[in-house]
Amino acid sequence: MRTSFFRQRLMTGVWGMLPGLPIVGMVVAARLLGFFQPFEWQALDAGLRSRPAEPTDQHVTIVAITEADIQAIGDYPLPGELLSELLVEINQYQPAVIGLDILRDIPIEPGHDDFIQTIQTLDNLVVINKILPPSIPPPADTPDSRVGFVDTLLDDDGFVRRSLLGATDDQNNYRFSFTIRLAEQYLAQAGLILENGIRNPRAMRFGPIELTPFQPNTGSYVRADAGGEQILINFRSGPTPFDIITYQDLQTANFTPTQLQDRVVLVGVTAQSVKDIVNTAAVDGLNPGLVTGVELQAHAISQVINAALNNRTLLKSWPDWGEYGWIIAWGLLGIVLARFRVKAIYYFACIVVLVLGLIAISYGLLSIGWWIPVIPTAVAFFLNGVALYPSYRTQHELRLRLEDRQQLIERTFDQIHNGPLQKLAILLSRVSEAPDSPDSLQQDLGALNQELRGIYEAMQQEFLVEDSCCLQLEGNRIIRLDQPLYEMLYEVYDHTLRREEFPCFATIKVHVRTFEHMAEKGLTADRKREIGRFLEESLCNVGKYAKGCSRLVITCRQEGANNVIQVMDNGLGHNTQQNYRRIGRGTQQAQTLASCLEGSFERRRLEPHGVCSELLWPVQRSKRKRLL
Amino acid sequence: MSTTSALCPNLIVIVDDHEAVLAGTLSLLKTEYPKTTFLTAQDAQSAKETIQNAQPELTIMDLSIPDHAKAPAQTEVGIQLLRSLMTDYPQLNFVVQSAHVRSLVRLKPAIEMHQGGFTISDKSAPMREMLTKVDWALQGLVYTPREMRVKLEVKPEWLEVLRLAFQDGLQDKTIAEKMCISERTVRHYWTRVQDALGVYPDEGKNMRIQTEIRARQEGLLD
Repeated sequence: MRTSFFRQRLMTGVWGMLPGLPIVGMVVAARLLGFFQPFEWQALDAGLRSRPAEPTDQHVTIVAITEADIQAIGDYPLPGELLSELLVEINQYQPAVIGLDILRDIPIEPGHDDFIQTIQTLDNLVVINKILPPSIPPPADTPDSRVGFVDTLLDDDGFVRRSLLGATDDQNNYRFSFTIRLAEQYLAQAGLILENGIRNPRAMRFGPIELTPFQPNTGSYVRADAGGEQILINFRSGPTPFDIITYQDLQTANFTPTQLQDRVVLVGVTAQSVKDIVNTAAVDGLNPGLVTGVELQAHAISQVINAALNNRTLLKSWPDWGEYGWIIAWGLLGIVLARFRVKAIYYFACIVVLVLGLIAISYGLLSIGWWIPVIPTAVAFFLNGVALYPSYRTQHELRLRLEDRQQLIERTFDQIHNGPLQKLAILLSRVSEAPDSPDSLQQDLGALNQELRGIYEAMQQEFLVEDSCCLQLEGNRIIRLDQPLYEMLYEVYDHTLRREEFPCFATIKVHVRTFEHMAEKGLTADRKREIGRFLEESLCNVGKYAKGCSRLVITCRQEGANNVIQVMDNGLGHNTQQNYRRIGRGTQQAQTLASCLEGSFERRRLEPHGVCSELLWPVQRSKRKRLL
Repeated sequence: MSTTSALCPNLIVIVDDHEAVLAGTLSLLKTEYPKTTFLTAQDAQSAKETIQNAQPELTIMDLSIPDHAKAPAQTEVGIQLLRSLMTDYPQLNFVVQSAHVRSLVRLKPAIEMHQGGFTISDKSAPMREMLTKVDWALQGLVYTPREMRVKLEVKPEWLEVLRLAFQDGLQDKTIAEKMCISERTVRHYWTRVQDALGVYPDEGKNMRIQTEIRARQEGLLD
């Protein structure tokens, strides 16, 4: 009985995973449909935001025109001559490249001509345009190599997380972004030029650093528009990622020249009223969720430059199979843990610790640039660990109780058997020898003996009903399936023939039966049960219809390469119709069983009268069927 | 019945976990078989070892025994032990002390295939009967309680032996030749079919003739 308990546990082990798998499946499906995107994006932003601060970038400086500056200037939009003066002034400090993050397709007088002139003379100046509809052209006559677009990609929740490096405009010309233009010029001084990627020819590359393009399913994105060349923005962390010099500071020389020398200088308007702002929650700034356009450009440019020069990581993510594998693995971990037999408090503490651990791992990986799915993973793990836990506990407790009950029954009987029953047996034997003991005493003692044994039988049957490794016959007889096949069949035969309700058994005078060893390699418990039922059915067939049967021949053994079960009787049917009924009944099930076993089943008439039912199957079955 | 048997086995092993019963059985058997050595075992493991080392002619065993000392006694353990002993020692004779017919019914096919004697004795029966069963087992006979023999069950080989013996009047040696089996197997079939027909040694009666009478009564010969 002990082995069948382990088998039970193992079976529930495999089948017990079933409730947990749909949950994992649902999480995966939900992610594939994109339901987790907003949460994962926010998780990414939160992760990026809470990283330890990086030192202020030494490559990019922002010259900002603030609200106060505009009020001091007294004019908006800024007139051309003002911009022109500003640019010339900045250029005196010998920056590597200047980027003007102000759209100027329409002339703003006075001084627009000056402005255009300045653009022509300063060959380290890059201006901007927008190429995606509605497109905004750059200032007139600017050479293409010094124009970069600033089109920003918004995710479905309105936040910016990606930087568009290159795209085709509506005239099918391929254009480079502001980011790339500035990075190009800056990195050219360090000897790095923009080339096509080696690993991925479509990617952009500066020296050893390849900017792996964003794909529709990168990270948590699901079917995003990955047109053009995009990358995720690895925002520079900390409250002061870049030096910001206001217009006033510039006029009053309230800055150090090194902040402009040999750097990328971005000029833009940060005044609140102009509202050149974007949503991004990944930056730890004054205004939560908002960042000015020029600062966004700074982050985008800075990440490319730092990647190429200082090996600062860009944001990478696992391939799709890796991400889903991670989610499924944690889901399975949740299932496995739910089956642990520990106290509830320890268990939940463990779950919480593991979830925190998962978050810590994800955070750690993010700091070195790997973006892995954390929300769906935690959800799958937590749901399995928590939601399924109560049901496993109940199952487990049920099983414990069953085991306890069985052990109690066994102990009880063995105690009765070893003490009182033994004494009773000795008593009976002595009483039957003593010459003067009354007969009634012997009878009563005998009855007592039978009754006590009967109790054990009853308890035994009760328990076995719940064991799946048994065959239950009519008349409440339970037969274990874990014994040799021929012994099990013998029990079936023995019990079926004792049943009172079959009239034809009474006339049988001789039972010729052979129960010999049968090869049962590859037979599952279910198969054995079905074979047992087949024998029962064949015998019932005899019992019900074989009128006047005097001899019953049963053979269950291995003949050569086949196992044979054969039931032959010499009963009469009253008429041919009854004989037909005999042959028609139960044949369907027997045929199915025969084909499962790759054998044959036959029920035929015998001469002069009688019926033979025979099931035959080969000992060596093909591997394919053996799984059934 | 004489107080000492004509048979003289060398070695008998008794397996029982009840001290009192063991002592009683031992003393009785020592009177019956004065020249025999007796070994005892009180659990399945030590029984296996003892039988392996000693190679007895007869094993008397209780079905309700523990697997090893200090374990609880269970009928299942006895049945498993019996099964493995019957496989390992086909010639060993057995006396099984149990009234647990339900469990023993499972072993009926194995008992039939077993070469040695096999008798089942009831502990609540008088001691005399136990001695008879021991004697029959040593002779290689089979005895099963009546509850196990409600209906007449025979194997085709036994019918063949009966037919050749009683219809054709052949001797064992000739039967063996005709059936292409050994004489020993023929004797083996005799013991089994006699148990099925309920024919046992009785003073003043010829067993073979008794067998023929019973066989005709049951309609096995015509």
